[in-house]
Amino acid sequence: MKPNPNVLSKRLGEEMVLFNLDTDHFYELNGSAARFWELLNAGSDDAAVRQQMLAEFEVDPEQLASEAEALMASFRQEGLVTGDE
Amino acid sequence: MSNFVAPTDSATPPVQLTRQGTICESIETLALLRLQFQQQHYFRLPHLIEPALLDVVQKQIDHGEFYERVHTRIDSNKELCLRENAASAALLFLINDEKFFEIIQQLTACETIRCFDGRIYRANPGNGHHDSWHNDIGDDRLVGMSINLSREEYSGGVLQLRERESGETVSEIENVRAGDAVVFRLARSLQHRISEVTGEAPKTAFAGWFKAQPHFSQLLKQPRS
Repeated sequence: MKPNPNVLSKRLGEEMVLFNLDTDHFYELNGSAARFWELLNAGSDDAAVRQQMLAEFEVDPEQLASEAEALMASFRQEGLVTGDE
Repeated sequence: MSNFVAPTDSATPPVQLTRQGTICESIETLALLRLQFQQQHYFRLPHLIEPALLDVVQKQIDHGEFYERVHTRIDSNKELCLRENAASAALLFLINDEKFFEIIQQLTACETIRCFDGRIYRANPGNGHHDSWHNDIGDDRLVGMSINLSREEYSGGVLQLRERESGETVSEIENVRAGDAVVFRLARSLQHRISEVTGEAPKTAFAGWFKAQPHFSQLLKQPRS
């Protein structure tokens, strides 16, 4: 999965603000979700993102996997990411 | 009028607003732009908007709705204004970037920029869309900028700057290539206007001001009017 090229993002302090040009919708991501998007947007694949998140956040792998899956499902639903996993 | 023109049409844009943020690769050109602003009160930023993004923005404009807007404080200036949509939101999102603000501050020596606010307008030839001399001072405005978003090359629609006291024209600036921007000085001693659009094609542009306040985070989170 990769970020939709028509999604613009900007870090505002602890938040990441996303704007989807296709749908004219704004999103605000906080904390770990903001970091997740930042890593994804920097070109890391899903596995590399999860590995980096494990290194940066105190979370066990199962919990991270579950939360990452839920986050990616939301991103897909909102058209923020494109492509096959 | 000075004939100084900064060589800004090289293959590498001095500054570009992209999906990855503001990219600035030509420090040497920026020095020339700063000098041009000192001497002529404006400079051009070729290809300011990344071409692929410009294409998406133009498509959103094509689907947008324009309404007639009359500026009662500026001699009843008339223009068609785009109801805010994804195109204007995307441009505000791109321009309201701290790195870009720092570059503009360096080039214009203005005070700290905290936001850019603007609107997309269209001037059709022969429809009485006109502009009169004014200076845009007030409301924390620091520096003006106009970005060409037109699909076709238009005639007329030239940005003119003049000395307020003498009425002497100091610069006349054409900006006919889509994605290019013109940044110009706002001062009590200067006035500007846009000449009437002639020929067949309309002029579509995103125009507004770098401002001392509010902080751009407030603009990006503001609900649409």
